[in-house]
Amino acid sequence: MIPDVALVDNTEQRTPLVLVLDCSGSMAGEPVDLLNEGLALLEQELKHDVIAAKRVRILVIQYGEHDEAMVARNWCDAMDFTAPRLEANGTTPTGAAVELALAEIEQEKLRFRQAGVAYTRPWLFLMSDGEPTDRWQHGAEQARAAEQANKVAIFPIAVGEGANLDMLGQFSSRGERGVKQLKGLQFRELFLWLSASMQVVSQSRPGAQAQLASTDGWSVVPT
Amino acid sequence: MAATDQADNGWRVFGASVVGKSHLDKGLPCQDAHAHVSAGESLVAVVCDGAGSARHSELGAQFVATTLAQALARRLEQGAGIAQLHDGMLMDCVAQVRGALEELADNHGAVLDDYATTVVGVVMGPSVGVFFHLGDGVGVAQLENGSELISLPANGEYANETYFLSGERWRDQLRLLPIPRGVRGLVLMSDGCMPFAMSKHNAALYAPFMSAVQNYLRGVDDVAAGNHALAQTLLDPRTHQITGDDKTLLLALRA
Repeated sequence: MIPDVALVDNTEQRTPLVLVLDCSGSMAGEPVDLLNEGLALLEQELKHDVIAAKRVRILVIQYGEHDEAMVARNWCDAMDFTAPRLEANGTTPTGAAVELALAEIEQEKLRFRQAGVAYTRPWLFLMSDGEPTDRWQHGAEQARAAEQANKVAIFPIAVGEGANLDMLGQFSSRGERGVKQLKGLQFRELFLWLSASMQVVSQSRPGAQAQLASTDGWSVVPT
Repeated sequence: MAATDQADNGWRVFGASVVGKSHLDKGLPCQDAHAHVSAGESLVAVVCDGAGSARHSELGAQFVATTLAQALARRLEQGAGIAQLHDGMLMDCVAQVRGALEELADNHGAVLDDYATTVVGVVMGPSVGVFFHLGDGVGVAQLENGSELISLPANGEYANETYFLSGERWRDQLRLLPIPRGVRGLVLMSDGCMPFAMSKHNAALYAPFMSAVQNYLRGVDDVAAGNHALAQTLLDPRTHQITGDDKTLLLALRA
């Protein structure tokens, strides 16, 4: 072996993850409590992985109140992320929340490019348990176009029986096939999967397909 | 992995391709390859990184590295200059090798994509040279005036995607970078080495790694011993914290 060789990681690479979370009134009680526990678990799991902690970059957007979409946690590296404690009340402005998320993603990419930081394709997790209360079609159109242009990967997650699968499908370039239905309130399993997937994606290299675990642990098998 | 022979034209060339941690864990072979050939006063060197997702990418990388280096050396021996290579001949050589790879795939009931590989290489004469580059990896020329000329990776938008010779748009993606003056050293590497052999943003060779390697190799008597030490260094378990990928480093030093 050659003596006195420094071996350090000079990679500057980020994997952006945006969580767009429904905090409307219908999420109150157990659902939002379990969602908060899931977020805390995500924080903990990503911080335990030395590479993911440095590379995964998280933004949390919540929507509810009086048709408001707002940033609950601004962009930060997973190592600096503290899970928010979300509260549920108000309406369901799904369209506005997704538009905000897509705009934030492109701004973050611009900052990466200006700083010479390489990045992987951003993931957008869109979670909803009900019917949108805003004019969501424009946001859905933007989302489909962005995904088709390979600007982002979108994962719509339907929570509970009241979620509108058809509407969520319109936020995915794969339509309703792109929607996952959460089993019961298994947010814990969902966020464990998300954390494991982020660990894989943040370390993936060109030409090697990222091997992601099955979503069977938390999503209902489509019928 | 091609043999790395002592060049007799004023160059000493060292190279190693080693299997990465994630490939070890999955029982995959090393999908990187390197080759070099000297032609008169010139040197041709190529590093290829086979796609992890392609079935026969280790064969693709070996085939392309070896046959492309030989094809370019043959052109030089037939009297071609760097300028001619730059103005079309290099593209012809790559097309010829890609065609031969397609034939190889046909003969094995496979398709070209099964042999997907990136290419980063250099043709260097006494006073000028040229990098050729498709996909990721890095080429660095250490110029006589002390500065570095870097052929950077081009991956498209995302860091975990890249271009391959098997791709349909390979002609658009193959980039040539002229080296306008003589060099003291040349370095080619696959992307597995980039995190520790390049500094942040690939702005330069990372001296705390590269100077130690080059100083050591300048002092060894025997190229085989130097190659062995280089391979052992690339296999250092400390690299497993940095990358799970295969790692190739090729260094050409002016004697």
